Amino acid sequence: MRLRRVEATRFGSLREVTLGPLGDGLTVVLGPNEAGKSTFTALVRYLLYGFPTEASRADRPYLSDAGSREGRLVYESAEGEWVIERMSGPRGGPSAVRALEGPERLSLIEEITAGVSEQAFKVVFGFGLAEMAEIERLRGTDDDIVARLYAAGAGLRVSPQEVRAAIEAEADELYRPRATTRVINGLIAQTREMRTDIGTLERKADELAADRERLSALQATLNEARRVFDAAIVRHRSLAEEHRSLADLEDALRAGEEGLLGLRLKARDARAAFESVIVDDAVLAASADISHLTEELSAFRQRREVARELEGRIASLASERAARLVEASMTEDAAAAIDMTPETWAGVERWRDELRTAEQRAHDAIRDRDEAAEEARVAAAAMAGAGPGTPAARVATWPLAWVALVAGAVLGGVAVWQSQWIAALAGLLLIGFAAAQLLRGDASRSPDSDTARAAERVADLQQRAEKLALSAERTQAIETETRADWLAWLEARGLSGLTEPTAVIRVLDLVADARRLDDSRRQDAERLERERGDIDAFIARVAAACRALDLPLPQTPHESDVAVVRLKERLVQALAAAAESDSAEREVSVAEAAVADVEARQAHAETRAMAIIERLGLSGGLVELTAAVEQAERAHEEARDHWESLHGEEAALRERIGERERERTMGSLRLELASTNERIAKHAERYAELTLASGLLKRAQERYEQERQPEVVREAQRIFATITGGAYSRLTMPLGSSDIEVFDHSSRAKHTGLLSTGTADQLYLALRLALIGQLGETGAALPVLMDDVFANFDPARKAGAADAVAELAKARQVVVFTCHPETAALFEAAEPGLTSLILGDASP
Amino acid sequence: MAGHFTFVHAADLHLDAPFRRVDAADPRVRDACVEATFSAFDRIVDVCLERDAAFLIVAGDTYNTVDRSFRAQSRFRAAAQRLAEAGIHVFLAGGNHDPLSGGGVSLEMPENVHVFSASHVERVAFPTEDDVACVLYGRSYARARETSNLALQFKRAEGDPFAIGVLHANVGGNEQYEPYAPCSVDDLRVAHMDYWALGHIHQYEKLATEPPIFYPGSPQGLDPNETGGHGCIVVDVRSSGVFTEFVETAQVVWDRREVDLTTADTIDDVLAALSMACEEVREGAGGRPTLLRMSVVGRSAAHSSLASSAAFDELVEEVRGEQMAGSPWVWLDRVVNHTRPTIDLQQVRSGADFAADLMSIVDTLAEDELVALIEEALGPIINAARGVEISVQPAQVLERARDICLDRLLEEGGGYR
Repeated sequence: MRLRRVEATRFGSLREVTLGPLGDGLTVVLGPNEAGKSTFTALVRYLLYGFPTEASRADRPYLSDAGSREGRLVYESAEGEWVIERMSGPRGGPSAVRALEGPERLSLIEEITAGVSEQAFKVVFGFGLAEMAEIERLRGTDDDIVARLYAAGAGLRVSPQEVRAAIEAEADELYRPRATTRVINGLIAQTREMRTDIGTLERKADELAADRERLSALQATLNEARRVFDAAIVRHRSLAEEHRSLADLEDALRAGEEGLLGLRLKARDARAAFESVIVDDAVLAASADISHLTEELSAFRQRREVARELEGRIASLASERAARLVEASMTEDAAAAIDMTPETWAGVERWRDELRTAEQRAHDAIRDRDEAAEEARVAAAAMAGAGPGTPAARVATWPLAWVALVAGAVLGGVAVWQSQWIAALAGLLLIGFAAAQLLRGDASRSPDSDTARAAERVADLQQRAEKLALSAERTQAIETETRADWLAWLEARGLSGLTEPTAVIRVLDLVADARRLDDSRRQDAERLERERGDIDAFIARVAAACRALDLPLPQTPHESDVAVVRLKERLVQALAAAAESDSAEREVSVAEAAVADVEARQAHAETRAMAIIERLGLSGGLVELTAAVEQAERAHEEARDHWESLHGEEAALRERIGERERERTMGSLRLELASTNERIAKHAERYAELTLASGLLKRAQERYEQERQPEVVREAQRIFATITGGAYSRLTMPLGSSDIEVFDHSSRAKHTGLLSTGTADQLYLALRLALIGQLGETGAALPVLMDDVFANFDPARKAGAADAVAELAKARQVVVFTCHPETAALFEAAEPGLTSLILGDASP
Repeated sequence: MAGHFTFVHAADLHLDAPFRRVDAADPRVRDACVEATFSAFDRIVDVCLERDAAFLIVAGDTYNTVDRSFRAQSRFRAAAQRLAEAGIHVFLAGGNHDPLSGGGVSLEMPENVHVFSASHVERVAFPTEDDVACVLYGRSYARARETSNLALQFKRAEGDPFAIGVLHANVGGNEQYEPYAPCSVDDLRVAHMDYWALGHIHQYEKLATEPPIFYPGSPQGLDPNETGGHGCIVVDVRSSGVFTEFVETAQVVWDRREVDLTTADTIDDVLAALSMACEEVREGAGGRPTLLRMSVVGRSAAHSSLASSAAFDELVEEVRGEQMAGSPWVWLDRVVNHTRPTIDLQQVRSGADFAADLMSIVDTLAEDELVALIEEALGPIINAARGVEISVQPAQVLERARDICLDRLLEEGGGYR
């Protein structure tokens, strides 16, 4: 692939100017000064690598009048034709690759520039006089063009030097001795700070240990202070207690003396009072009897009343009994003879019923007799005066017969229906009776029959009256007999003279009452007897009591009553005197006991007070003890203050220790230190890898330069000898040095600084040609642009240089810019097939 | 065999010990780590109460430092008080971290706490001499560096119904731990104990079954190497034998995972793989928060995207934030990028260019020279960062350095992929 045209659309002073078509090998462009030779050289570089930014002051900006830049490169190969365009813009300006013919090759720029940096292009491929010496100046630096081109020649996409520089830069970011801003340096600085902090914390731990020791010591002191405090409390309380006791004792002694006097007077008065009391011992000796009599006096009085009542009642009962006997008309004996058993009472009742029955029957029989006689008489009279029977008689039997008939029918029907055969029979009989009555009634309806029947009836009635008269006689006889039996019965029971049961009963009742009253009278008499016995006994006891006390003896119940009252009064008086005596005696005892008690307490208090004084060794008594108590109180307060102070200090110390024991900073800090150390270790490992990588690259570079570079040097030496016409036969490029030495035909070494400008330029040209010749495919599509670099060459060496360039142009596209026609002629002589171009207003 | 009773065997509480080699940047992680040793011990106390244990044995290193921090003592005292209220005794043996010669001020412990003597093997009848259920033989360290074989001083007395030996020792010469009180299993056997309650090794380990000889491990893992289960042993002594059960007590779990990113082509693939690994860890953590160390490996197309440490850190930070939002949280403590570029190293070696030169240098770099180069690089840092444990694997560093170079030299189009 070859660059065919360079088109300056707007670039520096160039407007729509095209350089080309360029030849495949050598092209010589002849142009006067300011025709644009250097401009086209720069334009090619800028179109491939980008326009320089404002910051890139090393390069001319080549701004157009409009302030913009734009140009095109047209490349051509057997496969097609492509144009590379670029215009002003950020980061070198936007570029574009278009295919004019053939396939698209969007990465054409990268393909063309692969392995050749812009700097290398500027120094080796597109150079003018100004860049001639750069190839030596940049040796050994990061921009070592030789090394870069070696690498490119070795098929590497990047320069080992660049790789090494990048690796070293990365390593340098990690660590640099004595630096502060690098990663590892920073981490190490952090660890130092952490160690300092840890040291501080450890010192705090030491302080903590000291605090604990201090606490331990303080606890002993505190315990001692507490013991002193407790002892002071005990002493103070003890003395205060003793003080209170002694003061109390002294107060008690004083009060005791005052009280004792009063108590003694009281005891004396009590004894006098006791001795003044006279007690009636005789009465007291009989007090039991008197008490009993007094207690029984009420009963005595009641007995007397009862006796009086009994006497009255007995008299009354006797009187009533006599009255009953009089009423019954009975003598004492007759009454006594009456059988008063219950059978008598029952017999009287029975006889009364029998008599009544007999009387009633006799009465009924007489009445029936009289009525039958009257009826017969009436019937006879009626028959005699009125003829046949009266309708009334008929009326009397007729309805009854019908009723009986109906009742018999109903009864019979119901009985048959209910299978009650007896009832049925009764019903049947009733029907028969009714039928008979009816038949009789019908028969009597005839007048003849009625007369007959009336006669018959009179006869029947008379007959019946006769029968009843007989019956009445018998009944009266029975009554008479019954009454006779009754009287006999009465006589047998001592009740003769009485006839009617009612009277008998009345007599019996009176006799019974008389007997009951007599019984009551007897009972009352017996009781009266007992009451009188008790009364007499009581009177006797009263008399005995009176006798014992020389009192008049009572003769009557009343006197006895009075005597008992008097005895009681005597007894009350005696008991009161005795009680008064006892009370006085007790008062004496109490008063004397109180005196004795106070005297004993006084003695005890004196003993205790003496004991306190002796125990405390106080000669000054209470006053001195008071002073001692005050002193103990002060000691107590001082001990308490001391203890509280120490206790507060201990609490504060415990709090501080607790806080420090809970402190987690140390653990966190240690972990952070471990973390930082780990980061240092990780970065250090990376640093070691990078440093070693850099070292390996360096060694590889050295080996490469030692083993591969001589070929370049030899080629440069050959070209240099050709250009100089053999004036210089050898050159060297020592490793590790930026110097280049040349040797003349007499093997004298010359440093480039000693060479003439022209010879030095020839050396640099020889180096470039040798380098480019060694690149092979690297930068194969890059044209070698030489901008009037032969200005300092003498004609002979310029011819030699033209030969060398023409030789390179056999393998590479070379464009030589010159403003000297003779130079162009030399190149034409060296390479007759070259392409000649005129730039600007130049004439051959 | 004695009657039925239960006790809990713990060791290496290391109360108030800071977590090591953890980058606990998140406050939640920091708080959990600061409290973890105490919380784990509280859990042991809970186990004692739940199992109605007669006593608790702590076989050394109750405290992390010789001078015993006040905070640790204070928390231990509070826990012992809880046990005292339940009538549970505590038997302590001092270890290399908390020998009895240690300085500092000691808090007064409740009466149920017994510390074995440092001058001789102490015999303690439990519960009393008059009513012995078992006998504990224990010995504390007098000094931190106890190098004598203390196990040989243990001897069971005749008539002991059940004998328990309590010792902080390195049995069998475990090289990962200090060789304190070194002894062998046979040394322990000749003491004729019925159970050996050991301490010092931070991982649960059953050394023998006849008699039972156990390390319960530490109740809380404190550094990335202390992964796996951490807890105590519940020992059930019955007439039919001695039965043990390991009970987890760690409140924060350490875990490691290696995630193969061979099939991860994009950053999204990497994120998904890391998240999935974290979820697996979360599910296996038993509801406890996890400190996770992860390494990503494999020749991955995503390697170039992860090659930049800044990009990788950014990615890890995203996963970290996502995982901390879960419950329980998973803290990505450190993620090491061991992915490889998809470069055919053999092809690079066989070339004759700069990369081949680089490979040749890497392949032929002498180990001493490599170590010297690394020490030269890290020396200033190690000197400046006093106390920082910077240990690297030279071969891994070399590999990573090589990959860094190749990644950058052979960017896309380098021709070796």
